[in-house]
Amino acid sequence: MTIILALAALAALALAARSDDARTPWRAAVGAALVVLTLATRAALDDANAHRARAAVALLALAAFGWMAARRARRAPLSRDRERGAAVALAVIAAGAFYGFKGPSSDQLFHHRDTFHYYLGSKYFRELGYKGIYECAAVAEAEVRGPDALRSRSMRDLERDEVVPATRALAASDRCHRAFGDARWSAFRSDVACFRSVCDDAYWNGIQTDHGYNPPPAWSMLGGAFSSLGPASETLLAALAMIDVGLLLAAFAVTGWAFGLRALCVTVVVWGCQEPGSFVWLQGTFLRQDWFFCLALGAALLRRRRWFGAGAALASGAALRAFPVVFLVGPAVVLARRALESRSIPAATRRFIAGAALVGGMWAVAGAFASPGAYPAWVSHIRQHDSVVATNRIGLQTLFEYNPATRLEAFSQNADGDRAWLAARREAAARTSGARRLAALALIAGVLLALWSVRAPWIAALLSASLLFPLSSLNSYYYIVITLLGPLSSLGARVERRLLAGIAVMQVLVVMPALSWWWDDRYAVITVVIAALEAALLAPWLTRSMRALTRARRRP
Amino acid sequence: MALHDLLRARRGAALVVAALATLPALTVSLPGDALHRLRSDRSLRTLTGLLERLARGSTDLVSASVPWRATRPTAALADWLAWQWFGLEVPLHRASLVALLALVALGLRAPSRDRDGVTAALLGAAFVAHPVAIDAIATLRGREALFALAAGVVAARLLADAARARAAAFAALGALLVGGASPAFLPWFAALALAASPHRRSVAGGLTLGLVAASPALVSWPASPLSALASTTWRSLRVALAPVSLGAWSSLPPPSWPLAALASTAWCALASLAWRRGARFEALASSLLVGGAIVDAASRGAASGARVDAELLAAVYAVSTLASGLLRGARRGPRVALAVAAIAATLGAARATAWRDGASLSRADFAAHPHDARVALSLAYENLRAGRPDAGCRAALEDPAVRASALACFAVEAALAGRLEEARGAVEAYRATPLAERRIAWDFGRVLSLRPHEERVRTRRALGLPAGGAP
Repeated sequence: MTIILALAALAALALAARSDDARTPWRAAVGAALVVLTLATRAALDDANAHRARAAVALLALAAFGWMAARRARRAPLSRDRERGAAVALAVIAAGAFYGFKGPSSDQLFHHRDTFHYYLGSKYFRELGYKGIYECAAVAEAEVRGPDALRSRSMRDLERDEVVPATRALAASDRCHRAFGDARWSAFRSDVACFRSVCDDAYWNGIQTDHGYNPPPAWSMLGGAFSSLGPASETLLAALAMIDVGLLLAAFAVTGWAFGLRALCVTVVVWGCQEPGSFVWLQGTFLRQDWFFCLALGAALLRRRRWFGAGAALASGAALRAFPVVFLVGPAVVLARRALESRSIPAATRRFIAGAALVGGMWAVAGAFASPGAYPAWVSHIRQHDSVVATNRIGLQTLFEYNPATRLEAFSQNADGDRAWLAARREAAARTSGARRLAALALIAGVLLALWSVRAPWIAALLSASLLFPLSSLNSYYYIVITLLGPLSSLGARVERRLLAGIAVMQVLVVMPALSWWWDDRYAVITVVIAALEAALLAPWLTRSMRALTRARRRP
Repeated sequence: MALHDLLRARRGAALVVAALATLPALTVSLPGDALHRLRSDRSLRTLTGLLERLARGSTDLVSASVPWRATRPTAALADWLAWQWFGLEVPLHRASLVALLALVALGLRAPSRDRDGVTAALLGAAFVAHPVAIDAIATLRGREALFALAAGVVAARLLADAARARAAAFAALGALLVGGASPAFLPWFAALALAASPHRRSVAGGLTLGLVAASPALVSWPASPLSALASTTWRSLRVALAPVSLGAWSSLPPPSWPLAALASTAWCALASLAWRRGARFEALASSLLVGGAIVDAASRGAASGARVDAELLAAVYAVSTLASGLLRGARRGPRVALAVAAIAATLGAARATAWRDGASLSRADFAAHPHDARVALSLAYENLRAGRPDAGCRAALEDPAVRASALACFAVEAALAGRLEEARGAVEAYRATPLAERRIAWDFGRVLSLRPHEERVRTRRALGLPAGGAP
């Protein structure tokens, strides 16, 4: 079978290379899809080889796009159809690389850990709030499997943010029952039983010591609408996991619509080969790509000059996950500059603001209405959550906290190594907080200065992603946001090269166990690469702004 | 219509044949591919280890009388990168070799003067730190010399053609990098740089190379370190002077100096023609090299080593010549590639027939080395994959060098056989092994991946292992 598929793939690619018309991209896509299928029929790649495959694809894409750009620069370009064919083939292979050239196995149809939090958290948001998910899940488990089920495991006390014996939850039994009522409690108990039945002991224990349910009330309202479709079952949860696949496809579709096929292909390559939001984190998740779709849609609508829709889409992203609010900063800077230059508020600006205010306001009001009092609780909870130290955080804070002497490996032989590592990181965070704030201010100023030179709002919106680095310390999977930098490749070969080089370097480094075996090392390396990539992308505009400032100073 | 298009697509067909021809060379293992150097050196696992290796290599370079490649800083870096990037995956090591040689072939064709210097520098740097100089391709003797020669041709050509200061500077940097890794080529560059016209440069280069090659046979060098340098130079050149010594085992006596000088001059002349006359001569040179290698291998009647050398070279040249042909659109490129690929396919098929699968390979290895725990473990893995757990994992437990791997193997084997207590005991013992050992074993996933998915999940649950990562 493998040989037949390989032969078919090579034949299709050979035909694509030979043809030079509108059929070329289609043939290339078929050939590349057959390559992916060929690889999928081989023994499944383990983690290390999946990383190697992504690194290889990223390097191949860098070489191929670079070569095409070099030919254009030499005035001997490939034909348009051949370029499109090559780009499409690379995108299809990169999509296969994202999934490690294998389909999800039967126990990966939905992400157990993620779905536990987001399905139960949104469905029972009114009863559980932000603090009760582990406690009430433990009570429900004790009722289903007997109190002995809790004796050998732990859970996280979300009020105090510490891991405690799960038996402590039994004291909260009455509180859980009162909050739910009989009918809802019965439904909750059977939902918890469903999750418990698909997890082994170690994995279940890991879920119960995670960091809780954290999305804003607006998302809880949206997620609740889906999670309330029926009682938890493997079929329903697998079906809900398909929403994210649809959202990703929709995000790519709007990218292609607004920026063209080549930019779309670069975007897919970046998505397929990036590491922070990899398959491990985002396979089978429940409604975790809504904000990603909103941002992609917002950028596309800005490119197409649909100002109201763009404002609405970007504000929706911000309402659903809070941190995407930074994507409004770029367009705001550009539109403010326009207003200053024309000494009036242009119609585009008015429409953008109206869209953002109206739709953002609607999300906020609807969220508050659906769960009264939830916003203050969320703000308090997210403040506490922000102080959580985790190995997979990415941001300026990670750079300041990281110290080779207090790496996770250094504590790994201790019985209480994790706790010692957490203490060391917290101590480093406290010790460096002043310097970190100063550095953050400098970086924010740099980004704003660069944005001041940007003319197009869509470019400014995408470049605003750089503000996340100094402003927040996000879990790695939110950094799938770097995929949204893909459309910037439509600005020219230099940007395209920097983007693909950044992704390739990231994967090449992640492949190396010395840099990525321990997760604190891995995400420190990724943090450095992301910082370098964002700096490289911002550099042209920053240079322009600096020159403008210098000229302004020289003027009498 | 599609078939007609396919038949017309000569380049595509050549690509298909070349890829198929290369596959066996990349996927079939031999006992020689045991990666002993990578397996046994724990300093390859960590950044600290790299620093130690670099420091040790630097000391050896200036003080010791053994300037063998493995002790140089460049080799230390290369080995470290090889393990970090490719682990113990033999096909990846081989594929990287092919890719690097293809890169060299593409570099030979770099047409733009401005980029020539950059290409030379990049190739030189790639060579110096290339991570393929390890045991996976140990059967290809003198690979570093081969690389140095190929990259040296590029750099020398660029040095000769460089018109602008920047290009010349880059070319010189490339030359230095190449020379730094294989000092034998430095005189060649010096001669090329000093001679005025391209023609005189070629002659000067050829003569210099010939003299360097002949010198160990003519002169009795004084003691270390000069003799060590000469010895290394000779060892490198002896293998680089294909087809005279390609495939030769290191224990064979070196060829006589007139023959070496003649071969080096011939090689140099071919290289000169290649860069002065275009694709045809390079194709011819490739064919001669491959043909010579095969004749050489056949005349020696060697079992695996020489044949693999020839086969790998054939595959490499199939790919590189094809790449050249595709890049230049030379009419003869695809045809030559097809011819060379056919040779590679034949040799690959012979290899694939001789060593049908990993299990027979491991059995042969075990028959030759019955007391080697690593070999016993390898056979146990193969038997585990085939669903025939044996006592190999338990036997390998005795050797501390492979203890973590053996424990992982034994735990899975015992779990599959229903001996859960023993299996859990092995997991506990695995957890107690030092981290460096566990890194070598990677994790249980490596052993478990040998079994079907359902069995994998069941075993994980039985042993209380997490869904991913090390226990």
